Amino acid sequence: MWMTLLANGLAFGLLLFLIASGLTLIFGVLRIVNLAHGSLYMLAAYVGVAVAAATGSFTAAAAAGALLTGLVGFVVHRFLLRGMRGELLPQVLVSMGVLLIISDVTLMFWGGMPQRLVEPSFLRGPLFLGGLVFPKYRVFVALFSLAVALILWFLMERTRLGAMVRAVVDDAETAAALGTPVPVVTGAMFTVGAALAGLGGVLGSPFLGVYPGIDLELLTLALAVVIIGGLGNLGGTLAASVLVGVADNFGKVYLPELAYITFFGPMVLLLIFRPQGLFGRR
Amino acid sequence: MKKTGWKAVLAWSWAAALLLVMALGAAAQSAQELRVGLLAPLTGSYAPVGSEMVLGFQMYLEEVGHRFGPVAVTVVSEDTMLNPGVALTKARKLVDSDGVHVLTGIVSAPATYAIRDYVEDRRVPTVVSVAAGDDVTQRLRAEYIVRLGWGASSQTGHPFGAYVAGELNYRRVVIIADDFAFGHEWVGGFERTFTEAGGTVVRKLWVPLGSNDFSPYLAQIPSDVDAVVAAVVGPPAIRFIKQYEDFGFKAFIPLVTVGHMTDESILTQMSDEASGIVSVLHYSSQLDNPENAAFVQAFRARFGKNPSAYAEAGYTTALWLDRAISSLGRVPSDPAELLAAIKAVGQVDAPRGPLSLDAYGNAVQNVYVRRVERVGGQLVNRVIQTFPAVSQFWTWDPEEYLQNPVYAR
Repeated sequence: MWMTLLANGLAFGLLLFLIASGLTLIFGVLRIVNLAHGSLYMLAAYVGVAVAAATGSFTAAAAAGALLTGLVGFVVHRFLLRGMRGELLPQVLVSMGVLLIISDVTLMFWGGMPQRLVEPSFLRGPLFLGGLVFPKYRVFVALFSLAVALILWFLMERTRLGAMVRAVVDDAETAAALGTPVPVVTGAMFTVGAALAGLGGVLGSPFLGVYPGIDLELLTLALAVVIIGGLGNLGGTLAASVLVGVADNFGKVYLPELAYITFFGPMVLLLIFRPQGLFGRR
Repeated sequence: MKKTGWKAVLAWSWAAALLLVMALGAAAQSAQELRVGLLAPLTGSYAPVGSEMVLGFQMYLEEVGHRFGPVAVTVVSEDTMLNPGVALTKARKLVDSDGVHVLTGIVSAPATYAIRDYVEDRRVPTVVSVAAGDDVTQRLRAEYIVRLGWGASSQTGHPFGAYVAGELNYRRVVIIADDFAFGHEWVGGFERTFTEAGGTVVRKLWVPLGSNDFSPYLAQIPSDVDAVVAAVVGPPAIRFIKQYEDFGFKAFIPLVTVGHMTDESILTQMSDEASGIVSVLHYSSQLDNPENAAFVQAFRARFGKNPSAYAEAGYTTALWLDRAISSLGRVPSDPAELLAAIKAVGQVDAPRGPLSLDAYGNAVQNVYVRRVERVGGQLVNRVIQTFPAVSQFWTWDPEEYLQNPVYAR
């Protein structure tokens, strides 16, 4: 049984990373509070349902979800959040407004009934690996998330764009003085982060479901992972996702009385003893 | 002393006459108009089931031209937001400012417990359509509350336990259920008759309400059980059934469930992973009786889908009120008289089958075992066994039954 639990934990953790990766960029790296992150996830999930129904293609659904949320993210950043650099409370209030608008719009178009998004048929059903029985789709999502993690790491650590982002975050004025187009860089990163939320929305829906309220559930999960990992630290977010996923699975089985707090309990302990997160810098 | 002018006298008598006419009008109106307060969750995670219930209620009203016999019917709906405190506030509003004669709807057990003392004190006849908490009509029952819909949580659990052990011959099972009152009570009822019939519950796994990922629980299913019994309600049921297949259990271990998990309200969101599931409920849109045939046909014509048990609950509540009011031919000014009429309806042939009330104000109705099958490209719950006229006390003596505490985890 522990093999299944470990595999579950890894797969669930990697899915968490996929959802949290966009938030790491936006909240962790750019330091912009975007409470509508979970709403972008939900919006992409609903759009994915519609596109998959119309085209029959899961790939088209994923692409549409990511593109649309990227676009919404761009607009929200350009016209709302950009003017509030470093102002925490206005960001919270404005992104909260976006959250409410998106949740009402999805309710208006799709109603309150839960929707269904099905994985492509070749990824349906279980995979038999020796004694271990495991859903194919979860294996796929885990591998996909690892690839996203790798690409993001490369983007941030090995490219000029990544270097510019780090420069902008550390000291925007100096970066601007040295010729870095600050608004373009932050806008681009915000758009990428929003598109990742959308990608997570479509890929996560076959196992987490699509229904009103998923926006807030996912926002809290993603925030927890980013905080545990330490702000601005991609590797930390990845480690935290896997750690939380595995701990959650084992905790629910071996300490069933604590099932309600296996997820957030560790976060509370961490915030008490190491408020900067596992891998965060003080 | 100042002399009163004739103009003032005239004005005063006009005013008095006007008041008298208004009062008479109001009295006449109250005798000919029934005002119904419909409490339902219309926002939040239970909004879909709340609105299905309202649709069913409205559909019946339209069928009878918004009249119960000679009495015109007005409905005032209020959203409980699935919050017991809000339910009480809205109940007060409906009674105190809208002047409703009867309260109905009510999906959640906590909302029912929240309004209990108020409707009992104010003597407001209350007809619960869905809320299943056992004690609503058992240990905490109230004179003014009757329950037509759903019945007690354990009411379907009792016959199903006997059926799974006796007819399906599953001897060893694992139970996976929601960790809240409905799950505890349904499982308690199931386990009691299941073990009495010789079955063994190997393990009970309690899932926190609203869980997305059931893999930690699925991982704990031992390979040597005959079946998995599940009671996970609401949207998570869709994911539970999907994940049961994804983890490879569907091919090896049969899944039997509480009927909510394959109710028509969510069955449209499932595919082949649901086929073959055996479940238990007091309704299926596939029931073969004339009342249900007419109901399903009308519902499909209007909404393009099969009615759920929630839609049927709304419809049947309206049907029951119609019988009560039509037998009186008016709206009595004494709530006790209205309550007596509601309790004296006797037996009604509803879409779900014959329905009556027991001495405790709870529905006595058929309980059906259904199997999910594909008919004409669409998943439906085909009825495979009928337990006629099941009461909340199953085969036991009510007073002895009530000596036991309510089923708990």
